[in-house]
Amino acid sequence: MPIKRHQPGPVLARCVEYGNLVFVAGTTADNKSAPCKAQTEEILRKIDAHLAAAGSDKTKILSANVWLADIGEKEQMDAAWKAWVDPDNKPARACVEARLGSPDTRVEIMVTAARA
Amino acid sequence: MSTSTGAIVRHNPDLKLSDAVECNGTVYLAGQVAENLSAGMKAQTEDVLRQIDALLAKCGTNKSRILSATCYIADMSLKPQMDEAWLAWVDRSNPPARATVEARLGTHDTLVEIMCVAAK
Repeated sequence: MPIKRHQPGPVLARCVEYGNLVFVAGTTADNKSAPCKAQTEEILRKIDAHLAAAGSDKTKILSANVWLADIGEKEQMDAAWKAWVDPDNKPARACVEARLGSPDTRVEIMVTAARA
Repeated sequence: MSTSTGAIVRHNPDLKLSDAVECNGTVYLAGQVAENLSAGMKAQTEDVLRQIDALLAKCGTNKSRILSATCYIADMSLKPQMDEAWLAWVDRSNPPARATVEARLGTHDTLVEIMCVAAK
């Protein structure tokens, strides 16, 4: 089966399709001065776009890893997540605190989805 | 050693985990850490990537078919050293989706752990 890599760079591709699966790279917000909720909203918009480019959408997400710079901000992330997630098609998800790429990166999300 | 139950093949199963699990043309590798934990970040990453190469070969695939990688590093300030080893190793025509976060790892001298999913 062929592998299709979207926006490949020297280190990583933003999204990789293989068969029925789509792997989206760890995604962070560009507006890092925004609080956790707004960063999450921006990330989820980016994930929507990556999934669309790979022939999938948020109703087909299988699994999500959420990393928060401060677990105390989980409610903010969840507020954005609940407003976005398809209520009939919630993925498996884990959320833990981790130090991220820069101090103002409040949240990073990586998802795997089905295409069909 | 490998065991097979139906469509799932498990490589090197021990009491806790398998080094690699194959299903439906997709290979899931366990988190790999360096054998030489006294080495620096760059050398530990090179060590990990060699182990990933070996596991992928055991599963009949290679680094050009990695779909996704999750990198856990003990100290985010050492990410450039990890990336140096990664850039020297990754197939430039076939980079995977990747995420890197800082986390406390299995022992205090473990600087990097990488978990991959690959296509056969």
